[in-house]
Amino acid sequence: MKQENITYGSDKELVAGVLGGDSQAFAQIIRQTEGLVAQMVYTMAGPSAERKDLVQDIYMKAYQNLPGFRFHAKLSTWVGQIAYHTCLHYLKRKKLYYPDEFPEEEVAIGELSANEIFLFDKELSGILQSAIARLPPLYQTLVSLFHQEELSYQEIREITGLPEGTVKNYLFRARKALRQDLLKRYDKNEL
Amino acid sequence: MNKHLNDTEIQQYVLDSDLLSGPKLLHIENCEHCRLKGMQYKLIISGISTLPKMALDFDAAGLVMAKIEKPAPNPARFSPVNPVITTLILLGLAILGISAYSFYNIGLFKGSYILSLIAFILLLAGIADQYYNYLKKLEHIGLLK
Repeated sequence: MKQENITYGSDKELVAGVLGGDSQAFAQIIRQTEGLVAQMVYTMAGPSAERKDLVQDIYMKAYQNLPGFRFHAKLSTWVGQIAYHTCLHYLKRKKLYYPDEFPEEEVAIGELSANEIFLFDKELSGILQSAIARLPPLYQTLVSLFHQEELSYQEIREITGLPEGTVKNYLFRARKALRQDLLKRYDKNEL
Repeated sequence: MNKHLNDTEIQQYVLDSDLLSGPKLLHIENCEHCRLKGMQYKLIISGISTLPKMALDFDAAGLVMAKIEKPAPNPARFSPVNPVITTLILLGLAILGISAYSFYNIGLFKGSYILSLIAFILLLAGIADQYYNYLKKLEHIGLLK
């Protein structure tokens, strides 16, 4: 029997609600996890017209596999796993997945004085978003999950299946690349 | 310690200074080059965390729920014709059987060849209809596009 306007608390209650026939419980799961899913779809799929299809695909997989969910992780982490692997499959299909081909060029950048650091700060937010968009999709995702979603290394490991050491290494490389990119584009002559 | 810290160590210092050993901590606190680099990383990290989060620009719950709650076509579709076809199939098989028996034995149903042909045609029509239903069922469960 369908129950209207019931808000479920824990993951167990949500799953029990869906399996008990309350489809609105699944709507609640979608609302609670769409932020995390959005981060991954936008960073890995980019401004693709297939984003909507990807999101639907992710949640349909979650709905179909929910009976097999054994609470080995948080429900949001499990949905995140599905989102990550769906987007990864998309990237591989489009031949856009190349985390190990990310060049770590060492660009000679001069020293910045304290004043230049201050100006760097003021302009940073305006150029940081585009700098992040220039990172490979996987690095963008990791940066977003760690710094914006504030997930732990362990949670990111559970979602991506990457070893924790690899997650840390990729994050260090991504931040280094961001710094290099920003300083390369930051023209000191404009000061 | 004269050698500067590498980017990984400087980032570790920014994220959690406890991760660095004593000499490296001392170096970064006394080295202008490494300290400024640390400030750059600190700005980048805090900048990322303050960027607006991505949000879907469409109603994901609405789209997905519409798909989930879409009424399924009746998989056990029985067209009104089917019971009639089934009856005719059985009748056709019976006539076929009797015709074959009469052909080989007593001439009980002389001239039953036309009846046999009709029965055969009805049998084919019945098989075609059942096959059509089978394809519709496959299409319904997604095995056939």
